[in-house]
Amino acid sequence: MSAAVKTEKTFEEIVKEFYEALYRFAYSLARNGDDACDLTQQTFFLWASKGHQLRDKSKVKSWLFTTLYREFLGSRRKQTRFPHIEVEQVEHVLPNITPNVVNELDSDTVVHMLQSIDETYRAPLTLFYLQQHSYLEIAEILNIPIGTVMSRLSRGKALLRKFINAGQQGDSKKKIVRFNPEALGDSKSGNGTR
Amino acid sequence: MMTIEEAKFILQAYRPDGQDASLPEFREALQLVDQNLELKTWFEQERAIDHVLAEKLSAERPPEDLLSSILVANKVVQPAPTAWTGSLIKWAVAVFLVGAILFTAIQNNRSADDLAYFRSEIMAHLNVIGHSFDHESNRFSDLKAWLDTNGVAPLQTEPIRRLTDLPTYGCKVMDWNGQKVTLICFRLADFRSVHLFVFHDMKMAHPEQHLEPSWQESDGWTTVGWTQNSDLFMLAGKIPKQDLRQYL
Repeated sequence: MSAAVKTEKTFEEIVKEFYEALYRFAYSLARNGDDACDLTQQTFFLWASKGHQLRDKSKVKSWLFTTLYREFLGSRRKQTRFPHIEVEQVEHVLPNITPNVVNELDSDTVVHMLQSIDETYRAPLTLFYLQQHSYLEIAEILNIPIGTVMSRLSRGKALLRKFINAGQQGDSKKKIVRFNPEALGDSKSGNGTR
Repeated sequence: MMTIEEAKFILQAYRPDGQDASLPEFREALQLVDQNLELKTWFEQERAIDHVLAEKLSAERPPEDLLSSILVANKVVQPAPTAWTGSLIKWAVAVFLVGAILFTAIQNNRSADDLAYFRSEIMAHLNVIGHSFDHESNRFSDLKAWLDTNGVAPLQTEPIRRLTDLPTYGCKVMDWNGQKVTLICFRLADFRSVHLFVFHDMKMAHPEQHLEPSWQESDGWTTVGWTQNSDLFMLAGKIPKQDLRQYL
């Protein structure tokens, strides 16, 4: 009986340990609460039905995040693609902002700014700020090379800080909702709309 | 030798709470931080900003009912059997019959030729054998509780203690030549499975005798039978002997 109790607790413990971080990741990807809940719930359903296939139990966290990301990609295929920004088009010199500037922002604003970034950068950046995974694990979850993770983190941070910088100048809402960093004025193509 | 720009690029992947400090990939960049004031100032500023951003993001809370809905859903909605589960169950029943024959061989000291004959008979009739579980669950605890109430006899867990942590498909109580037999199917990784047959309260000629594990490998199936406290246990799976051995 002790083994049985242990099995049941394990599922609950896993849910309790990871559901918040998974939800935040899902929310960042899906950009609305209902879809984030669905993605999180679906991820744990898959864990309940397929988790036994995972031999290395130390990989549970990576398995959950990987599964959630794949579920998101699967659901997104049916939807209109978001504007995609070519890597080469994004300047990755970090704007000069201070911790105090960021501290003055409320959490919702930061989340919305993050959600405004193209998914190419948003996914690794969210995983980075959740601090649950090293960049090596992020590469594994997103199935991209390590160098690409570093590059996307660098550029993603630059984009996020440009939004923060723009917000600091009092024009954040208008610019953020465009989901396009080029609109912030330093695009190489010069056209802020798509 | 790493440049300042290279160090900055790498350090942008360094988590602000410092848990990457032990990763060798950051070692050289961190050494450079200690040696270069400009880089050190930049790095401290970066970590401070990243730290605040991470805090802001972690302040975002999931809906209050999300946790409970996940836990409740897991109890109410058991994962549906997939297409291969049906054939798996069919195979499980087949293995039961093979196992029972092996048991009979052990009991009656039949020859290997007899065993091979019965085995081929069973395989030939496999498609007409009905199959279903009496109780389905992915938890051994549920199956044991059900069997303890509805089964032949309380299930001994000591002889199968290495199986009890595995997820399960379901269980069935069957009659084989007047002998009640319990079947439990366990899930393994890669869609593999093992099937446990328990022949309860065996009327053995020498009940005090403890039968050591007896192995057989044939047609991709590995089976092993042993006795403990008047019950005969039979474990079967389409897996190598060395894999099956770990569950004894």
